[in-house]
Amino acid sequence: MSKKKGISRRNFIKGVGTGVVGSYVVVPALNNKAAKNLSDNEELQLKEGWQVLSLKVNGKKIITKVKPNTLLVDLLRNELQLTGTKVVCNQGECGGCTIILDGKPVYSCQMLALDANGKEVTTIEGLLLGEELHPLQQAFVDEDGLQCGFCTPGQIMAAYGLLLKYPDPTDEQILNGMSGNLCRCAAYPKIIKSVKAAASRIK
Amino acid sequence: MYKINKYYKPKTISEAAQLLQEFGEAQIIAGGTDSIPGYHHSSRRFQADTLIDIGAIAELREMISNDSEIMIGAGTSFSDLLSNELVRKKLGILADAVSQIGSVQIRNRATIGGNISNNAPCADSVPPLLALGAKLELTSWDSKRIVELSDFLKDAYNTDLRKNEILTKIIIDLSHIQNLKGFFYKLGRRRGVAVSRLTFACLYDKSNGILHELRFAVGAITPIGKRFREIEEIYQNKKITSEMIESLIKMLADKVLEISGLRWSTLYKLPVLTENISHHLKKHLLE
Repeated sequence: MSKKKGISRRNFIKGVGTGVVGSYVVVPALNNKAAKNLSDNEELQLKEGWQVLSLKVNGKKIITKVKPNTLLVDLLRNELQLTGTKVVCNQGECGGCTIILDGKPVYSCQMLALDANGKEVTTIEGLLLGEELHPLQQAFVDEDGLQCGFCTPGQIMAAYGLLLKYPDPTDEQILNGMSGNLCRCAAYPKIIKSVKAAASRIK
Repeated sequence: MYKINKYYKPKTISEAAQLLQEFGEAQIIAGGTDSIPGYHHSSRRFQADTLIDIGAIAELREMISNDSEIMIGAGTSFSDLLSNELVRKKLGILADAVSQIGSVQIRNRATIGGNISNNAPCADSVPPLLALGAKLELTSWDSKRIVELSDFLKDAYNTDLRKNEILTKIIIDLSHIQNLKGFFYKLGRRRGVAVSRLTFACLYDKSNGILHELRFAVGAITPIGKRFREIEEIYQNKKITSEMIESLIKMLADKVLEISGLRWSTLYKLPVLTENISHHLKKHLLE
């Protein structure tokens, strides 16, 4: 997604305010603009069917405009600069793009950004407690649950989703819950160990 | 990027059906686990520039049940299906199949209606639903019709769904399956996120060594999920023996070969099919 579009997210939010009503105020405002003079950019946006999107990302309310074909992962990475979430296979097989959507782990490369309207998203960045690592992140560091580390944000988010559902998971629940995330370095034994360590620490 | 330039998210079935009627060429999307990768690969099946997202329609996620039937909203995600006690208790083979679909992340998004209407040869929910004798409710802006799942599935990635219709309910009649036990078997190249190479769903009723009823359906080894009623009927009310199971498997293998034709993989798949299914059938029927 281009960052050069007429209304940047920041200016947009400044202009509209961060209230829930924001998304409802803007749509008619856009349509009114259609009758008036539009800048080239605005005209393009109208033609491409841009829509207003309001969602919560890592606890923060976000209101922005997106093209309907924007994937959620592209919104997170390109627009919101949350590049911890990785795009690897881009077809819902590897788990690198795993995020938490309304409390459940999902692949963010397999859903449209507009589908997240009104929903709550947590990314790997949202796990940080200030400067401090989340116990899950710390467990992956301590237990050496990674080699190259590229799949790790996805692994941690899948583990986070798993622990939300089963705070004290059995071995089978861990294997099942983590099976949607591939690791080319095959660090699986230590990934499992990290998840177990985190579960006992959080408990 | 994808050519999608219109996106609608109706809140009710009737609103969705009206939008569909209005646009004609719109693509319905629910979980998106098939359609988004489809758009990504520029699949010929995903060319519509208008999307109607039925994921926010609460009616489509309802489960209604009484003594005689269970009606599953087509927009029910596999995760929700799995956490439903009624499904686990009454539709065990469906729960077994669903638990092995994709991964947690996929099951949290993918819907049962999407799995059926995409009609991939390897759709894991299809063989158990065929064995359960599922019916479907299809809704358009001005009408509703009920069809048998087996009639609905035409050929690979092709169904009887009309352009203005939405698959709204999966209906399972409980009165004929109360006494049936069953099992589901899936063979994939790995355990997680595996595309099925062979699926087999079976329901049976036996007592005193007699097979009173038998139903079975396969997936992935035929162009679409398929139930074999003609073979089922032959073995109804027969005495259960090893020889009987072997002749059944032989008949099934011949039928699969007849439908799918000889392929480069047949040399491998056919013995795998016969050995695995015979092992499971013997385990369940002879014990």
